[in-house]
Amino acid sequence: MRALAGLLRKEFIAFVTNRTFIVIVGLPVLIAVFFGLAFGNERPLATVAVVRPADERVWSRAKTDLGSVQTLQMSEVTTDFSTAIDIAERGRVSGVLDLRGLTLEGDRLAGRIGVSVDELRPVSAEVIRATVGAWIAAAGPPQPVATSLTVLRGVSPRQATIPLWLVAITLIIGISTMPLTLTEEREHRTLRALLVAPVSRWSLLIGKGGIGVAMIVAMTALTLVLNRTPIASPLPLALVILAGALAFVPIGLTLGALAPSQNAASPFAGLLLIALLLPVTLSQTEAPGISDVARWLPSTALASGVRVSIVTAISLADVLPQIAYLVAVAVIGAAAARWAIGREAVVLG
Amino acid sequence: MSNLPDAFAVRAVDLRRSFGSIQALRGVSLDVPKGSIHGLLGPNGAGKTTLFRILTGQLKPDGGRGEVAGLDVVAERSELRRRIGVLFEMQNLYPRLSVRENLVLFAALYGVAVSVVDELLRKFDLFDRRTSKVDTLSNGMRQKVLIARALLHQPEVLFLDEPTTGLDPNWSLEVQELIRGVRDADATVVLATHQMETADALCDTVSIIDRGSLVANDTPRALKRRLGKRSLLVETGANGAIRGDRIPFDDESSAVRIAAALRDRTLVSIHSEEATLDDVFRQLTGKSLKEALS
Repeated sequence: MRALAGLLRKEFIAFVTNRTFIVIVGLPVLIAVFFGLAFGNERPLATVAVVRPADERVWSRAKTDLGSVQTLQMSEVTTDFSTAIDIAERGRVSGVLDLRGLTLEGDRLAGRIGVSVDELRPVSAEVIRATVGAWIAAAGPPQPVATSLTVLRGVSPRQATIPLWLVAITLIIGISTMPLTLTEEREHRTLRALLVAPVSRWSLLIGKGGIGVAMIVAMTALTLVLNRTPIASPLPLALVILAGALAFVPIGLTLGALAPSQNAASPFAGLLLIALLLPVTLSQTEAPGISDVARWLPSTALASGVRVSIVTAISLADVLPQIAYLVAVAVIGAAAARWAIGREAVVLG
Repeated sequence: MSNLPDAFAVRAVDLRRSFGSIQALRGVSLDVPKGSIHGLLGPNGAGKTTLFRILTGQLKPDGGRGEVAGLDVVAERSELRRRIGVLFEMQNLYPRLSVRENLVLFAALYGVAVSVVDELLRKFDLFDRRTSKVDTLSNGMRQKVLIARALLHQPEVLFLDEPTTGLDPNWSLEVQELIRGVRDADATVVLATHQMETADALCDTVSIIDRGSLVANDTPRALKRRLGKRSLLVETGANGAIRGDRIPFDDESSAVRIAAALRDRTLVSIHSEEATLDDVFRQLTGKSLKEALS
């Protein structure tokens, strides 16, 4: 146990004094600067999903009126209210205008407009309410159109974007940084000193991997805090991130143990990082074009688990498949890393 | 169980190791007495580093048997690691850790109290530099830290690979003194080097390895007596010019040749030149170590 504590301490000092640490800490800070601040400055142009009325004349008039305002953008038009709400709850628009209650009295619109706004987008909600209010007021008294306001809980820009960054942080530390901890030891010949000391290969792995996992957990937490991200299911999120860290850190260590030098490891780490991250960027938009291969990537499982935990109130059982898959990858990765470190004796010869 | 007689700390029996088609060790047998300093001599690529790695449990031999401190170097490798200390040719310290942090890490790995670290730092005159980052130290100082690291757990056998290479003469002498101190504390030291002068000054026994084979194993004195050539440098003068003649000393014809050198000339000086291990190496391998290294 004392040996393990010594190794963890050494790894921590080596980690924080390495120039790579700037990248690790810089990531959450950059994300907060570029995106966290942007989230605090929502544009006064709100996107809405519109449920159109069946009457073509009414719709034509409403479309003309709404098309002329500068503060609303009709991103989606549908005839089904639940479809519009679903679109809003997925975060693709900031609110819903239900125009099915409108009629035409002469050349004036009358009846009722249902307005649904996302409580997670207060600026957009205010823009939608004010725009609809101005539209009604413009018709002059007596006002023939009434509004009913409902509030929905959609996906905030933070919730929509942060999962990608959390996965990126996990992959960058796990796949790009962890190999360096081993290649650096080999280049400084310190690995030889460790291998002739009475310390097990598992202890070496736990020492290095433990710091990697701790860094991933710390940096993802920092990203969530700096961006004031609302989390619907904190416990499932924590466990998914932990499982993700446990899955990707051994992969990085295996790469580091197999590569003879830092230069040899870097291209493979870069390629692996891109391969694991690319499908995740698409999965955030629920793009239909993701291949079946990409669906089976552990990074896709991590992204899906993180996203659902942040956006939806779920129980642990809902992310159990993702966690189980990532833990299986972790077990295989740890065995591979153990084998690769054991192979070091042959390399030394 | 060990078959090692109590008198020996290291025993190699017919050790063989190949790397692909290259035979690095071709059946090396060797005994190192306990409490002695033993030198493994030979040029780069001779096989001494391979032998060194096998004896320290870093490399499995293809054949033969090695025992160190009574332990089989393959079957009892785990226990072996606790009983030996190793100093590598490269100065493999953690450069961004301080001197003390480097030693504390290995103290933890060997289960040694931290107080031992401070004792060693004082003993090795490193206490004042204990908080210095290793990459700010001179080569000589780093070498002292490495020796301190190898001695943390009071190993029975200390393996040193080129302990004085790259050090200036003062540091080299200091390191040699530290190594003698280890021997005097009843540990056995095995050092691999291609510095014949260091081996001559330091080692109680030496082995010479060439192209994977052990070509000699004895005390330096015995080897030099048996295989080296002592000589006399006779400087004589005539007509204002000085001439030097190197005359083999162990030869029966020495006296005749000295007389011949003095004929019609004035004696200026006579120096005796002792045989060196390099002479021994040349005698055994047909080339000097410098030639072999180049």
